[in-house]
Amino acid sequence: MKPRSVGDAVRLLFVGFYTLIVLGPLVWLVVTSFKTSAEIYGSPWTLPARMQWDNYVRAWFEANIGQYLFNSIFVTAVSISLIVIIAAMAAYVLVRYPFRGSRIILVAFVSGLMVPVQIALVPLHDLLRTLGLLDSYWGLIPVYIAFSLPFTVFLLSGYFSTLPRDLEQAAIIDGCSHAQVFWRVMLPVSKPAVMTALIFNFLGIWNEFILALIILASDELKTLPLGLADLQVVMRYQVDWGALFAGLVIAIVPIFIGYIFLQEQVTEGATMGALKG
Amino acid sequence: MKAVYRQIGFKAGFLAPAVGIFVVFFIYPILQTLHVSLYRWGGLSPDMDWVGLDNFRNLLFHDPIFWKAVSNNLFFLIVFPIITLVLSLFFASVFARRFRGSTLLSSVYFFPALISWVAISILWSFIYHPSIGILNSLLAGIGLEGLARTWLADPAVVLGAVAAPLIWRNVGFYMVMFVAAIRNIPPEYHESALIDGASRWTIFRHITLPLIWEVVSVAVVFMVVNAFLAFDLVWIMTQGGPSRHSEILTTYFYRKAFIEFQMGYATAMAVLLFIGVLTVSLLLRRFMQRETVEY
Repeated sequence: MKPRSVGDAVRLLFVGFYTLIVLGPLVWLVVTSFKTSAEIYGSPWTLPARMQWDNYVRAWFEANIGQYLFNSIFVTAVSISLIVIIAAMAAYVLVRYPFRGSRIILVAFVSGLMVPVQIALVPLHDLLRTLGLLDSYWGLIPVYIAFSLPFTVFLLSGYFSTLPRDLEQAAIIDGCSHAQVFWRVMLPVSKPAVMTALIFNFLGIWNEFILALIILASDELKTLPLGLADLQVVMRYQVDWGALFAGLVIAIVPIFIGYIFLQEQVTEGATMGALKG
Repeated sequence: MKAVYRQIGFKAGFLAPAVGIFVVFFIYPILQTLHVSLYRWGGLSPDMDWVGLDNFRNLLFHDPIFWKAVSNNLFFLIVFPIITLVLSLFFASVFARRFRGSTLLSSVYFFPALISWVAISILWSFIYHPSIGILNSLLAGIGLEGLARTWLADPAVVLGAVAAPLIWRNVGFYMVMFVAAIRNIPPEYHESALIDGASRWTIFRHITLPLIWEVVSVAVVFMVVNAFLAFDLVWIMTQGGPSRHSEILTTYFYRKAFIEFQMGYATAMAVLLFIGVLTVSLLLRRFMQRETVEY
């Protein structure tokens, strides 16, 4: 955009200014993560004299960020795979094999979109304690699945209902059972919707905080958001800002890399969620 | 006959996992919330005292902190959507016309929306940090050291300080949504208006905005609900402090439930929160839907 008028020049100026606002904090974060504590207390505008990779080593090992990262990867991978499979099976039957009451079940799932998680927290905590599932992934993952079902069922049932009838009829004639039709034909052709569902749920669960906060207690089980929040409190006393900044960078980098490679799908998956409103 | 039975087994088998998990971990806790809200309950012991609607009565008529939280929530859900909407619509109108670097820049604007609230909250607490933060040092650098303060400890500014990262994270997100909507408008609409000599603002106000109103209204509801339910940000940056000046309903709820173990009282608050979110979003939807234009 070459400024052709005063209006364009002003617009360009705003764009430039806002770019600084977006990038400034992120650049500052990365630069600071390589500084010594003394440098951090000095001017925020200088570059580190030497790259303090040691901040990353301390963050990874001493502050346990490495452990939290693997926990997050595990919890997120298991949860989103199960969510998509479970939600797809239900959505498929609800829209392709309607029966008396199927409409009500679908509406029940989808109206879950309006429910804020807070409303369930206290009984959920009590339920998990009664079942002995507090402080365990056996409690956390089913809860993540339950709270992801409304959106995922909503998304996938919308997609399944647009697929042509001929697809499954052809497969049935070829001798597939109903379940085989789903796994071999319908699910593979729904790849775009499945991808959107995976990415949307990935972002939700990778970044999830409050459920993990009330369910997990042991340090070795904590996910990244929970670990970082703890670390911030600990570092207030130890004053190891370098390691904390390095920890933040470690938490953001996987998202950044994913975004570079899957930009279009990520943008689509993230903005789809706005339908939740 | 046999085929029909197989179908029943197939349907039940496919539905069972989703329905089972949903009933146990979603529907049951929500119904249970309504029940618990009628009791006084410390959470850990099984003893629950029936108090009827006392929790609600105390919240609504005898709890100034609850009302403080409600008014802070109102600040959030008025200020945040307005600023976010204005900025994201403005940038969307700029980015909708492609220019060199526009794709890259819009990806940059979008990126903060992918970062966890926890990471953003910690990052921003450092931006505001009185001794190592960049904000005060930036103000000093441009000769405005008079404005420097301990942002998160100053009752006068803490709410705004907490709302800023909410805006920072979301402007690019909504911008991308609006850009997609604007690019879906048939170009003839703009062209004919340009030929008629309409100004950019007139075109935006009278053509673009009405045509993307559907998306805008969904976005506004989404912004308001999100502002209502923000928890991570406030909890990590201030825990509702200093002395409740940034307490919002979700943080107050969390404190009551999981720190003070007043589970009955907290669930009553959760019920009110739910009613509040639902009312606000339904009203907003009704209010905004009237102006939708079809094309």
